[in-house]
Amino acid sequence: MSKLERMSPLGRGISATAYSSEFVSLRQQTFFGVAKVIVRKSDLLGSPELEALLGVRAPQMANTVVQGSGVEIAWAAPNQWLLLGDEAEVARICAAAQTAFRDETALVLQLTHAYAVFQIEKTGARDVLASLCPLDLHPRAFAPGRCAQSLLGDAGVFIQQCNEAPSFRLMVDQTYAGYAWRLLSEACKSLSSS
Amino acid sequence: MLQISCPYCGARAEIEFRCGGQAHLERPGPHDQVSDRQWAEYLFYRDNPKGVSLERWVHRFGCRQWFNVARSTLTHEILAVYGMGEQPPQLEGTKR
Amino acid sequence: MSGFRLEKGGRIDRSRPLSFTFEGVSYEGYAGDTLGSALMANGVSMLGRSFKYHRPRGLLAAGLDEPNAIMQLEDGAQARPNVKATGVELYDGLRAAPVNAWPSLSFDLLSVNSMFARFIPAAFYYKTFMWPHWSLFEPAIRRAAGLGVSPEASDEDIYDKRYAACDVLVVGGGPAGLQAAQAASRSGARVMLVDHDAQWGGSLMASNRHVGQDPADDWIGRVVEELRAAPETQLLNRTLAFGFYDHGLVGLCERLTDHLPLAERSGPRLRFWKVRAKSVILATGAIERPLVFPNNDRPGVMLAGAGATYAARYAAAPGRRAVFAVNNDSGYESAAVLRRLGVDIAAIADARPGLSAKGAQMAASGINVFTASTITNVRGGKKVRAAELHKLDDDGQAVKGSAALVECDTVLTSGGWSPVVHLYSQAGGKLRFDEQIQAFVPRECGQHVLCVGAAGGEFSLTQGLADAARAGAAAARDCGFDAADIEPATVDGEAFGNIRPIWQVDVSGLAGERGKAWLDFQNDVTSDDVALAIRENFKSVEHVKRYTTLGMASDQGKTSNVNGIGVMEGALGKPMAQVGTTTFRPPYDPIEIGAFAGRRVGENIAPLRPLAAEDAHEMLGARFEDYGGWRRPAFYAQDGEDEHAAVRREALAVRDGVGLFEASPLGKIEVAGADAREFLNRFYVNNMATLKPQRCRYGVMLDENGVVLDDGVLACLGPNRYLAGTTSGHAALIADNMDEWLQCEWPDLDVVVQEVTTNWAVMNVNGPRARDLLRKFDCSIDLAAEAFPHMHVREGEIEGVACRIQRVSFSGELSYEVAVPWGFGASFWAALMDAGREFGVSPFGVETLMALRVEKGFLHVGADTDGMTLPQDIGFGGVISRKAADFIGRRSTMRPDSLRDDRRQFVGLECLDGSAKPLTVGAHVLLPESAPPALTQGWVTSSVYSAALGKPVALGMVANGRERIGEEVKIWDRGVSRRARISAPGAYDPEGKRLHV
Ligand SMILES: [Zn+2]
Repeated sequence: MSKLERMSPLGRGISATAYSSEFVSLRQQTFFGVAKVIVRKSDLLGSPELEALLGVRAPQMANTVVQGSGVEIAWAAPNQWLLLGDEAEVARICAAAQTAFRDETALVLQLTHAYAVFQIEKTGARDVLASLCPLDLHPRAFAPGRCAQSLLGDAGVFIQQCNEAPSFRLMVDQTYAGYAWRLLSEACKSLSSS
Repeated sequence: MLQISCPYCGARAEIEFRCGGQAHLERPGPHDQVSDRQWAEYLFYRDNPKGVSLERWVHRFGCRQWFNVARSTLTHEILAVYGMGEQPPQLEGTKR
Repeated sequence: MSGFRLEKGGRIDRSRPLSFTFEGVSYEGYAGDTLGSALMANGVSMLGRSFKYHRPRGLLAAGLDEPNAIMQLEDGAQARPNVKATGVELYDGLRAAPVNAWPSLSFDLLSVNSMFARFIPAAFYYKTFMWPHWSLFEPAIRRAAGLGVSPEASDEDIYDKRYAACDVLVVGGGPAGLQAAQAASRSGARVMLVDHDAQWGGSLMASNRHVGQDPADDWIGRVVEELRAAPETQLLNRTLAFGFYDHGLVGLCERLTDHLPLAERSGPRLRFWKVRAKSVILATGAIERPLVFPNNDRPGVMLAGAGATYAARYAAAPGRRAVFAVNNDSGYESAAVLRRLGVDIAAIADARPGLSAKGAQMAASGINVFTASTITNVRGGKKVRAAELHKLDDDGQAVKGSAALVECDTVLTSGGWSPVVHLYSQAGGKLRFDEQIQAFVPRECGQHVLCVGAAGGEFSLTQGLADAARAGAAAARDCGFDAADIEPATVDGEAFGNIRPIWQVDVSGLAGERGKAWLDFQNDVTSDDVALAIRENFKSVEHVKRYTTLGMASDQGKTSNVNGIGVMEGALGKPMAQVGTTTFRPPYDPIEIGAFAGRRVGENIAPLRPLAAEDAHEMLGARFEDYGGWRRPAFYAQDGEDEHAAVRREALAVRDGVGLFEASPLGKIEVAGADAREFLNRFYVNNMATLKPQRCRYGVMLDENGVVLDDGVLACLGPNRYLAGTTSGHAALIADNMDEWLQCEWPDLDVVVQEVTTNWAVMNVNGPRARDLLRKFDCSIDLAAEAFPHMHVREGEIEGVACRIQRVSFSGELSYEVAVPWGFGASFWAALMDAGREFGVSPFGVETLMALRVEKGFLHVGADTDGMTLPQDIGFGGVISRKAADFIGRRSTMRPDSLRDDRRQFVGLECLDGSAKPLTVGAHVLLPESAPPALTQGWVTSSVYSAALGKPVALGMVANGRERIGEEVKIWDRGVSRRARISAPGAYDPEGKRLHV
């Protein structure tokens, strides 16, 4: 019997997985690695072992992201971080962190399959997001290196600004992938037509 | 729609939050030593202040953290935000 | 037919004629017209029938304060009911009809109401149509009274939404708004300037004024250009700020395509903005008040300022010969505008005793100006023929014998101006009555909001601009910007003077019957109605409003509010300041519901979540249903099967061989930490303290009221590590509850929690051949019965991917729940179907699973339980009594009511009548000899036909049911009774032998 095949969250039902116009481009980012680290005591993340593993100290400032070696580490809540990046790299770090935290009150969970990840870019990206999300993403209020959790329509979303172009990474629960895609792509079209 | 300052994430739209009702309720116990009256007070009896209301909220679609809010029921102004387990700040019109 | 198009002037584009129809008749207007101005230019003076009495009505105003000209536009999916002709930009091909005339405007059968006017006083409908119920009369009354007709076709338009944040939001693009925005914008603050009009300039557009040395247009153009160029300033025209909410939130409605011909429209029609502003400046201007006198609602009687606006802005003259009735100087300025444009001013009646400077100027230029005079009646029905003027005595009473009858086709009145304080009031702002301008003006507000210009009660433009400039800079400074004060513009031609309030022309001393005097044109409220309400002891302004409908509905008292309060002053004998005003409600002008719905329509309302193998289910003929927000197969219909046949076939396939069910939505919550065991023991009714690694235990969760909230299987994955299973619809709720208890009640517990439901797809292989089927796979887990017994959990790999298998069963058969990372779910399902072919594997849906569990007597929370069900009612009394520790809801299970011995208990119900038809869910359980009406003993909660047993089986909640097993009862369903016997739940394999194979 053959190995099992992998399907992306938009793997069914949605004919297009990318939209592009003069103002905005939107695409699904497939097989992007996501893990969550939750610890009970915050000093765990400061442990030299883990810092060596991540290449950087996990961000202590709320709603910020730092670039580690191979993965990005995003603040998600007090004592909770998301590891984002190449799937294999995230898996490798997860395995090491699980070992490191074996005797601690902690959860290190690979959640790659739980999320649908979208990348939205170009000058109209903020307007598209502003039609669906109550966050203020104006450059004076949000910038590369910042992240936030909020709402995209009625679904929870993790938003990270990747660069000044601007480019944003959006992550929603994968069962809302189709919903998020419909909302985002329709908002992109409305932007182009008005 | 209110704008609520999550102690961790800062000012956010009310739709990201859920209100958990009156703050500083003490759960009586142990269960076999609690009178019906005490239990009923804990479950059902709530303040209905004209003025400062102390209530707990959770940043449901943000960091999922619970915290306390002092809010005026007259103006909806949020007078203070403080952590779970913390005592409410001294505010005019707060029921002690 | 008194209105006409002026030969030149106006802000219309005569090179762009537009054709449109009104009541099926074709007319022509120009780009720049509103529907209202185009109708006026075409001489159409009768635009509607009034709400209650069906009196003919024409234009009163030129803006959103228009109460009469309410239109139905277009038809089919494009139909728009109840729009104001004055707010509609004319476009080519527009089709309009009045909303309130049947069969037609000029011959309105219901205008017979008007003859009985004295029988339809305030609250007439409430008083008359009370018995037996209002709803019996409502349809007929609605037809008589109703406004527009709802579109019958579904709305095809797209509605966009936009969240925005800014430092300073300026509402109103007139002189004060432009000036305030300019001052704020220069600081670099994030500024938004919005106006519902297509064009910028507000009142300056219909004036002949100069700003500084330049014509007003030049100044408007310069400021708008500067604001457009400012990088952080955003201008939105055709955008109405309709509501002011908490914490600086202002709702805007931007009309993106309403001004275009239907065929040229594309993209979103409206955009609903939610703007969170640190500081708001309201430059919303003022609304002119009509004078209140008999027959003041006749078509051709208008507001003086509106008359000037039609002529100056739209080149549409309201008539050829006008009589003015004023009580302040602004009317003279309107008269001057009209006169300059060629309208004959027949007379001006000024209520004030002396001649003001403006009045003197006007009189000197040859116009008849009557001082201490006012209008007391209008002659003419569907159009004005003459105005009756009388002298006023010192008390404001018209003096008998002083009449002058002046022929005219237009009557223009000015009763003073009311600042537009609606948004200020919505923001929580308090108002005070200003004696000088005889109007309510802003007093104080807890929010950061300031009214400038006429909205702030400052009717001098030069002073208003100075205030606006200061306010704009100050607002920017409040937001942390280094804003310098700017030199405000100055404006020539001041006009207002003092005002003589005459809230209602007192004609009681005059001979002869006069008509009613109208206060609220839209709601057809007269001064008599207000007097009646007060006689009937409705003395608070809020009560009078509701009793008479004065200032209600979409009009929100724009032209009527202050006049109404003035009339109340007279009737109550207390000053207007003490009468006070009602609270204004959003929206300022009606907003389509579609704008609020936005993209939350169709499949985007409460979007259903798909299963991992949705495509495969679809191909297999699944009939999908919404189960707790998930789109799941109810059953798979083969060869045109109905639900009953399909469920029966699928159930037998599971009992006799093997079935496959996608259980991915089952809630999964990881719980870890040194205190995880203690925490879970407090969370479940069951004793979870003794659960060993690699074992599973069924558990029930309560809320603090003791009510059964959810159930599921708790798996112990290792020391201090658990996986809590919840029902499919409750995963997020239970995860939320765990967070709340840990953070708020037990912060000392050393526990961390994370929901992982959608990371894992779960396939349930169910039936005696389940193990045989799974053995076809390359799996690291030993599936042998001894190695992996019932209620155990294992982690490993299957076909090279991570998997977690729980041997649990909701069917009573050998059953495995195999979880793989979600992205592999579809492929895994396909592989299982493939490998299962030799065992005759059958996919089965939720309804089949329900049939299987009812056969087994397994409880389904939410179906068999309700908001009153306690754990002891469903057989957990023993579990509780054996558990010493507290748990959520425990104390509530000990209340006197919880301990009654006649509580309804979960039992089986066995049909005794031999029929194959299942009992009806919800049918009542009665004593055999009782006949309804009788006290119910309980009801049927679940009921199916059991294919395996060849008979119907049912579950129910029955008073003291467990003690009554074996007792015969009557099952009563809407008049039909059937015999049944109370039994233990679980008719199929009651010993549970099939679970342990
Ligand atoms: Zn937060």
